Amino acid sequence: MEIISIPFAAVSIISIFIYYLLEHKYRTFFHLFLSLGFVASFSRNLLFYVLIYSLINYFIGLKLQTSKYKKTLFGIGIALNLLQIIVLKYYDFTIGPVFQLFSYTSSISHLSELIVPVGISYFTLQGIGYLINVKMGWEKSEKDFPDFLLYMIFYPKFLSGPVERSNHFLPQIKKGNSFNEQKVAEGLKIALFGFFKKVVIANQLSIVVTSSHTDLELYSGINLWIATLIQPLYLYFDFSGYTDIAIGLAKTFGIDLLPNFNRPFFSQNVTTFWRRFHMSLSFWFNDYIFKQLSFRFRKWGIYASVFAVFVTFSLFGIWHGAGWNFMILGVLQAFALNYEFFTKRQRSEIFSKMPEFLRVWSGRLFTYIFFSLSLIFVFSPDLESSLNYFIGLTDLNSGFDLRAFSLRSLPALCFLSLFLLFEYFEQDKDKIYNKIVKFWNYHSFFRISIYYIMVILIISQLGEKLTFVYQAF
Amino acid sequence: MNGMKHFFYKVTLFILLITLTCLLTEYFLRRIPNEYTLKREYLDKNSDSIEVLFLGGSHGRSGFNPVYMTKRSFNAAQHSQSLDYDFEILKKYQNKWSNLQYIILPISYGTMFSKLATGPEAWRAKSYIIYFDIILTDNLRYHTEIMNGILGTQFYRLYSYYSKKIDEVNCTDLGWGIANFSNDLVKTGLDAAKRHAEFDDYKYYKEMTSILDSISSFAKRNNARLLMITTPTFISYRENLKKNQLDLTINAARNLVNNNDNCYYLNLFNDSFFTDADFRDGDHLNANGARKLTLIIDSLINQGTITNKFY
Repeated sequence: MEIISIPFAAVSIISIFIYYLLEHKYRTFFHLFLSLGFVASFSRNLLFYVLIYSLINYFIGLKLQTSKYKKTLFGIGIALNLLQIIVLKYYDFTIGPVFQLFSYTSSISHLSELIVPVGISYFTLQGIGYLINVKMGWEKSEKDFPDFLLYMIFYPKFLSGPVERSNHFLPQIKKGNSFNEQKVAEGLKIALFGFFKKVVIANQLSIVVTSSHTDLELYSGINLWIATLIQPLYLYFDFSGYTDIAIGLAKTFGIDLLPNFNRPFFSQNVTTFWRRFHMSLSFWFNDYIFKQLSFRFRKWGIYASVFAVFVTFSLFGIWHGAGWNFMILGVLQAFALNYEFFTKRQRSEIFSKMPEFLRVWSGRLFTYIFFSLSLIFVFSPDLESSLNYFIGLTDLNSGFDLRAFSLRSLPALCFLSLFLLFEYFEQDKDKIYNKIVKFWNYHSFFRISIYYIMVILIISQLGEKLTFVYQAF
Repeated sequence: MNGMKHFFYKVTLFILLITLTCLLTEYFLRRIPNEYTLKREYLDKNSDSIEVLFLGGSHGRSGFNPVYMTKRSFNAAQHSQSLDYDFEILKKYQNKWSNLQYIILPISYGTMFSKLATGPEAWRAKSYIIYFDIILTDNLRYHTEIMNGILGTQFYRLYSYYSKKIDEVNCTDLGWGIANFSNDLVKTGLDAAKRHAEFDDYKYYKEMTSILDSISSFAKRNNARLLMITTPTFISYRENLKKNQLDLTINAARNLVNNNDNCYYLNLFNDSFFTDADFRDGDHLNANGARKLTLIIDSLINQGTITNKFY
């Protein structure tokens, strides 16, 4: 079932009311029913697979608490988690080439066609995170399998996160909550904004972004630069749109999911950017990879961090996809972070001489441009295409050609400007932000009118490009 | 519980308001006269008296003007109308073609390789579903007007018709597509050649060949002849086509003619009778070109019995 669809919206709204009519002891099962149905709508094989996968992690988690062979069991658990994602997602990038060297063909490569591993990148991280938490003693193993299964496949977050933590999610579903109109209304509002961001903004920008990668003849020089600079906006509104839907829906059930974005385009450096963009993923890599590596190799002094950053972001890049272009994405971020770390003092000295406005906005501009250029590796189908794209950027003889841009992206640019303006007020202009919030909360007729217009705009553009960018990861 | 009830009523009211807006917008959009409603109404009333039926995509829509035909004719072609839709239109009135003598079907460079409902113009499927009751796609979005255009466009359509009385009929009463403009023939020819070659491994070729066969059988059952025509095109278009795709197109028509005694093929793809003055863009005829082409067809048909199979 597509998330951006009227049936999904209808089922979600109805399920809110059913949820609060049920007694607390039945609510987990109700959510499981919805979540299993959601997974099954993609593929019954996937449903079966996810059940088995969850059972394995559940039992390993239980045994980790009591077993004498904790380390071995933990190693087996992690190995199984990694093996399944390597086989289903990274076969062509890892095992396949090795088999080819020995002229061996395997039917394992067809497993991903059979199982259709939607959401695998997300639930794998959740499984690994859970095992690490139990092994390190940061939480007790979950004894209730239905609760654990819900943690793994809760339908608002199943496709593209946020990457939840078991010690954040599980306590919430265990405590009962009664209907809270304010919370439910807030959740519905967040979900509505998510639909709007995806359908009305991101979908229209996708025309420009995908065309720029498939039609380099039409897009070159200035046109290509404009398309490049639109990429982050497209990705942000697509992904934050999905996240808002997930967070909003969960909130209506009284469940708070981890945040994923915190005004990322107002970051003044790459380090801050990755604390504000896809936060649940970057924090996961920070807590479970970077910190562990830094600690393990602490005898190397400062080079432990350098090493840890490179390994973390290389894995971060590969997590996005099985290809060298994704590896380069990660390595680029690692270089940027290390550069910022080692030049912090010098940059502070230079920037302290600049007026604050210039310092802040030049930092934001450079960070944005860096991210825009990094995204070329995300949207290009392969490394060669990425390089051709960069070559296209150097051709500054080509003038601006309006044919490269759909008129439909113009309203989208207007709407996204409003969103970004609001984020700017939230970031830098407290007084204006508070006034807007006060006005919004006070004038219910105005608020509902805006919701009404948003829903009509969404409905009029439903059906175009239903999947999310991060669903592909 | 009372709080939830109260909230439930508010949400229900909001949804009802949205639904009412959508239903009203949908209703008023559907009332705007358009080519599909015109052609549907004409066929509903007159299919039993039509002697020559023109089908096909935009090449047929702009290329055949029934006003120049001696026999009673009608142009049921539409933009991007693929063979499956041509066949559905024939089947829709299958008990009413009592006077049908000729089916004129353009076989163009992209005809054998594309389907309307899966191509870039798939949104046009909604016009067939809403106005012709022809459903060849299970995408629910195409059952509505409101979900097939951005809000601004929909409001503009409503404003244009209900305020300015501008309808969406761009064809004559007999279905010929009016085109009072001309574009750069060289550039549009090149663009069209590229656009019509963007097919994925020719995956629909077999299916379209089968449909073509079905159309010829249908014609035979109704004692009608099928005249396939590759319409004239400008040099910038025809010189930038993929030879393989073009050969497959022409061979599909020729094979059908060879295997069916009621089928004929007229290949005007490269005909020197049509000059620059006959095109409105690289692959579509203008009013003058349509007149020329229609008169050629009329004279062929008026020979009584078409003796040659290939022209």
